Amino acid sequence: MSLFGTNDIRNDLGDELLRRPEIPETKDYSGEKSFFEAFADALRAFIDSLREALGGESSSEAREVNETLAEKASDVMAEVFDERTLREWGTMSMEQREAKLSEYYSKLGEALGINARGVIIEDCAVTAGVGVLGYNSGDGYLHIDYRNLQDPSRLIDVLNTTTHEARHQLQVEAIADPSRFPEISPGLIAEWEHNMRNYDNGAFGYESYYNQAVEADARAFATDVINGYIAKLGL
Amino acid sequence: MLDNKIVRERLLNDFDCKASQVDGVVDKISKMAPDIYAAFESWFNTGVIQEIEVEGYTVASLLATKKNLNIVGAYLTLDWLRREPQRAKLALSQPEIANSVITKKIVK
Repeated sequence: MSLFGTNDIRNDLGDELLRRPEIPETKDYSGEKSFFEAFADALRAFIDSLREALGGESSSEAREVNETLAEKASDVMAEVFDERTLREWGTMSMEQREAKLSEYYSKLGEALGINARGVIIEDCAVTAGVGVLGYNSGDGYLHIDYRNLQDPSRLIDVLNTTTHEARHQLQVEAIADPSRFPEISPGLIAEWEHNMRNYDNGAFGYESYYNQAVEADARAFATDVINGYIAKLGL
Repeated sequence: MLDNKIVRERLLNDFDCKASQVDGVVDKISKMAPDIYAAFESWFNTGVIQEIEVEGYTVASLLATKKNLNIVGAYLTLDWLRREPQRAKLALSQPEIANSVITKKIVK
């Protein structure tokens, strides 16, 4: 007597369960873009949409963005997220992607002169709210929502968020000790400090949140970094 | 037209608006587009949301997607969409990147 009561396992389990599933037809991917090509398109579209909405490079977003730091940051982005990494991103494991992101943030921290302690991948919907891509906890750690890492098509959001949050970390450290960042004008640091003390969380309108100094600066910085990255990779 | 003093008091008492912020908010409310202001006034007086759609957004849709936004902010955001549709839609479509760093004291 077998485990199932008879000696005929096929009878016990049934044909339905034992039927080998149909192997799907091979999909013809010819003519479709690779992840790399799709990513390059998405990067350009990202920059173009910002330019279109913000009225070109001399928009109000580009207030006093430090060119040297943006240049250094885009070098780091191009070094870590090189063409090979972009081609492999879609097939990387979560651990591999997390390692790449940590490498980027660590080297970005060195380039910017900030305390970049690490990246924590978590469920930001629980820790910071639904729809939040990531946040800076002010202690050198960046927190990135796991969904962005999980979905390869959201790599742009990952790069943008990480760079944006790194800029916030720089803002805080510049306020604490302006002498460490001589390339940033005292006037800009004072503006950041004033804004941080009177931070608008957007309760009374998204416009005031979006336009406040530290947010506009971080967005402009990340945009410039990605712009430089696109140029460096020739995308 | 609403009495700005009454609006001001309600923002301070019911919506925890900061004293440093309230006059700016009252000023923005008073300058909203007429149809949006009318909808806001109706809500202010009755508590019933009179929906108005601007560039595909409503009070309900804004409150559903922006966790920090309150109902006053929702009407003000609709007004922003009316004044700068391209910029506002871009801003609202971008995923939110929270900045928790402001919760930490700035130490020198």
